[in-house]
Amino acid sequence: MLKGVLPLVLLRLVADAEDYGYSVVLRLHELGLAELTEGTVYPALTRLETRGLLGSRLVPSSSGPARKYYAITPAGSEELARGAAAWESLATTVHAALSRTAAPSSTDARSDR
Amino acid sequence: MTVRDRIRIERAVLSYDWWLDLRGARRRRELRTELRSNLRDATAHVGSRAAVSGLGGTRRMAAEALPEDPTRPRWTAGLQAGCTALALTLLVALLSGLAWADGAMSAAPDATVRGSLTLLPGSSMEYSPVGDGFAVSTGVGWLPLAAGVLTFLAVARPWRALRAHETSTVPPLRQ
Repeated sequence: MLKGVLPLVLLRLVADAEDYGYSVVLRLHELGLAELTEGTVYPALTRLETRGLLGSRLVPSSSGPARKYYAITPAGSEELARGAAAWESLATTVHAALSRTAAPSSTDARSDR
Repeated sequence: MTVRDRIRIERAVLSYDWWLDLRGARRRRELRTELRSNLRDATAHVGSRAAVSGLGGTRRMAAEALPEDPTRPRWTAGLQAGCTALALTLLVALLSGLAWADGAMSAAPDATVRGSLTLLPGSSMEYSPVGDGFAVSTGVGWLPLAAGVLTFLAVARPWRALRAHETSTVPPLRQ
């Protein structure tokens, strides 16, 4: 489930600040998404770049080879807006469905007494 | 960063590159450089062992990063497989040649003896008594080279490039 929304989360993070692979992983961990490992995040960034949703540029690093910084493209911004709206709608629907499911069971519990 | 850290990082990068090559990826150098840079940052933060283990399987990473390109030959994999096949057949030639020479030395013939190795068609062996000693000359034949080239071709699949050319020259359908 988390993997399904990962592209959306990555677009959000990169839209907030241009960033490179390992730093994005750290930011995800800070958000509480510690189960997302480097082996999942790096290919996801590459796929988003291949789809034209992210752009990239190399920035020299003092600690070693140049870092590849990702930035969101106009197409990525559109995809982010569309994805965020879809996610909000899905979350609202799922929340309503779960709340409705929970209500009868509490009624049943009262009528059993 | 220690030598051990560098070795761990390079091993992971090479493994990733290997799987990317098998998928016919065109952006291998770029992805290699990016992974190396990320692993160095992670190593500075959590150590090389944790940095590399965070990747999980490099085969899965390569599969998730790029879709397979069926029109791209797998040159690196082909070269490695071809060199391995060449080395193995040369090893067989060496061992067979040593066995043949041992036999010739045991027989200690007075005149030059010529022969070939059954396992290696086209090979030639020659034993000549020279003064108090002897001379042995060998020719391994065509089999090791053929094995290397055929294995290279079978694994690299260079005809994939022709498929790419055919695909690019097919005119678009008119509506």
